[in-house]
Amino acid sequence: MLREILDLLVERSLQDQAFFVLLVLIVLLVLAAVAFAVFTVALRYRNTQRERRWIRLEEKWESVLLDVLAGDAPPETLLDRVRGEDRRYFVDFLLRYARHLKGQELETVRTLAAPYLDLSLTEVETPNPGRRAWAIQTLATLGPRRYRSTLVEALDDPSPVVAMVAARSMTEERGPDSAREILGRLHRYVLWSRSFLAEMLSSLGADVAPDLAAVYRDPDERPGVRAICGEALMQIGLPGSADMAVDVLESTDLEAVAEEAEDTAEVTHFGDERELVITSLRILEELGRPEHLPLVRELTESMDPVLRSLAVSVLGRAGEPDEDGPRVISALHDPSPWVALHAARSLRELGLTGELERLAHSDSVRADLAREVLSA
Amino acid sequence: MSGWDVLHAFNLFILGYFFVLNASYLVMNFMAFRELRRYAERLKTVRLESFMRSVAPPPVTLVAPAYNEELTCLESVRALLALEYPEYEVLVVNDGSTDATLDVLRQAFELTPASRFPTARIPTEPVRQVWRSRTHPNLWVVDKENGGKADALNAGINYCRTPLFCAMDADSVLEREALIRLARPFMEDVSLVAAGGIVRIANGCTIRDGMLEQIRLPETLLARFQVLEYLRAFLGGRMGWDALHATLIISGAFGVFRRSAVVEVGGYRPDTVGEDMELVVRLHRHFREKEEPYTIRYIPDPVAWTECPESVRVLGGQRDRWQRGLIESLTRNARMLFNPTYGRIGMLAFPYFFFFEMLGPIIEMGGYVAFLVAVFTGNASNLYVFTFLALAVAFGVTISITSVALEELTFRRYPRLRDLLRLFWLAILENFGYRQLITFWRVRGVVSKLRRVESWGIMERTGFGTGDTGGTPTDDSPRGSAPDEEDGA
Repeated sequence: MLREILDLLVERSLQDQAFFVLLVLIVLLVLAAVAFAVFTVALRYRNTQRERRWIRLEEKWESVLLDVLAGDAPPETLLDRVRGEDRRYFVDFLLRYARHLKGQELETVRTLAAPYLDLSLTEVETPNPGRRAWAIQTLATLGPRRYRSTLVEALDDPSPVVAMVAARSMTEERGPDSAREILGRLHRYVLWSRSFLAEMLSSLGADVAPDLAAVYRDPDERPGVRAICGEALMQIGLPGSADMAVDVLESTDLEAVAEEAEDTAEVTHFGDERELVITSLRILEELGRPEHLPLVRELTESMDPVLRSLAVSVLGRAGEPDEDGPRVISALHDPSPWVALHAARSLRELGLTGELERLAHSDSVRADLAREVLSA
Repeated sequence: MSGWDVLHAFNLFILGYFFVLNASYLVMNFMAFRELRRYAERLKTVRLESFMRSVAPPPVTLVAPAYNEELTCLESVRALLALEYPEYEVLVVNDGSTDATLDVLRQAFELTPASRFPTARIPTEPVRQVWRSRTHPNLWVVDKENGGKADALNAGINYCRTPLFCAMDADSVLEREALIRLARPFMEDVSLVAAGGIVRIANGCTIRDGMLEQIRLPETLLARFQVLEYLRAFLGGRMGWDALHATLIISGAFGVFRRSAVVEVGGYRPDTVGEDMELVVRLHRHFREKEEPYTIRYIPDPVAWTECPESVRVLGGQRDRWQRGLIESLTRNARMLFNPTYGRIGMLAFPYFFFFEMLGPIIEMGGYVAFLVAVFTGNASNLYVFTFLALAVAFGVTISITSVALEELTFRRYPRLRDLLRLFWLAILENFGYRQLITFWRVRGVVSKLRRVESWGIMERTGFGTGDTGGTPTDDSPRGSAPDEEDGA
């Protein structure tokens, strides 16, 4: 039939042939439109049915689960209600609960999930990173100890999202072992925000501080990784962190760092060394004492406005009014508005509000700044 | 070669152009489908609450320019203050409103004069006064002389102190989790300098105290057509371009930017009516020229709901302006066209927008004229005419229906089956008049641009969820800050 049509077409004029092609295209498009419309309605129907079924199942399981959690019913009561085809739903249902539970209740939910978790284990092998990430999250939440080796392997998953889900899940389990596994792979997460990574590490608690400190001080480690560990230390508030920060600053070529940052050209990526210096200054801002300040005072003259701002802030927190006041007052008139802002706040912290009062009543371009800081 | 041959050749050119354009729309939709599926799967593994609990999300300043928004500003600001985000400031920039916008805000939020030191010096019209709320310490209002939306945004950026800022319209309502959803990618990718969310039509929906209560299709046909257009543009077009890593537009109604990057390129250009697209194009240009790593993304699930025009006159003015904005953004950065220095932006996205979005309406209108000439002079057979029209409708319907399918596959915001079926019906209906009208307005935009018209047009507001009819004209300034959206088609 098709052959006959083609033969017929070959004999016709170019215009007829073009017309035929257009006609076929129209038919195909109309068929596609109808198919998509039917598909969409079918999808809506399937989604609605799924939702209804999900609600029914939830209602069936929820009341029994609450009894089990309260100790009023044995786990088998609930497990008996899970049919074979609903096992995946059941794991998802438990996962949702597990995220809000702690202690014994969480352990009970994990016991309930245990018979079905191998289903998620098979998903870890799929080529689809989304499904792998979901499986890892399920295993990490509902079977962190039993599937620990799988989670550690997932830290090396080619997909950064899967690796991050594994890392994030492991930090929720806490403990130095998790920290070591993650610390060894921090360089894999270079694209993630450093504060996010630091928060993830600091959530492991004070037990991991020695490991973090070791990485932060290690000159052979990547500066970016050291910066993350330094920030995590700051969040934990380890007492010796300020001394370490001074050591790190002293062992860094601060002039080279400032030159690298000249004109603040790099908006998206600060150099790693610069990040390390910034982190060290932030540690000093949080935890520094007067004996830590000599190098910081030098940094108020740095070419890099970010370092100047932070140095002025450190002086505001840990400095001496008599010794550091003049430096900070001078920074009020720094060409960078950020340095001036930090300086104004530091003056208030040092109790030197007289200079701010004078500035506030002047016609200086920084009068607004002084008024704002005074009224805050 | 006779005149008729020329006409015939032109008609063939139009046919080819039309085919390539529509085929590219379809391809975009299929690419969007793949990307949306991937995104939806990834989203399942992301626990927004864990992001919220952590101290990690970077602080954000919401910069909302307002010009004569007395009817909608209260709902919008309340919605902004109700957002779920650990640390953010709301900076409403009153762009010299001639109505009671400032008074409404002053009374509702107990604003008092305050000092706030600017941290950048992007030139703007003079700031009259900075106000701060007594009831909501994170709410600030910058009252300034009228200078247009870009100028107001620049004023906001000058007062912004957070690493990220969110540019939006004061008459848009963000969903509660919209900000965390849009800020999250900045935590995942430090090279990200800008990310845009999706804008949806709020007409017909019920919004109370800044919260979206009920999602429905609008009552009027004109607004419903725009719902379909927005679905096509955001779920199909923008997602498709994002899959190619070539996002060229972030809606002025909702986008998050790295403040330092925008300050570095000098902020928004106040001398364009398409300041949102122009900024994104300039960011691409800047980072490509400096060979610095950067990313610009479109994120499909953070939603801003906005009111769309319900009158032909206002819609016409809006599309006229969008077309002018598009032309300005592209012509001012014309060196990027087919320039390999700019990678896939210069070689793919820019040429696409240049030849299809910018020149498209002119070619399309030329096609209509040539087509009519051919028909009335008997140089086109009835069969050819019918076939061409059928092809146009078939393409249009298929593209729109795939967009509705994308919506159903991913976010399913319209809960009623009736609304879904209506969208299908609209996908057919819009081909008979509405699309041609849009083309006409876009051509008018080209003409306006050639005539150096700089008007923003008029926006009629009814307020959210009131169901009122007969809006009040509230934006008749030559440089007002009306809601802004790019080419929907």
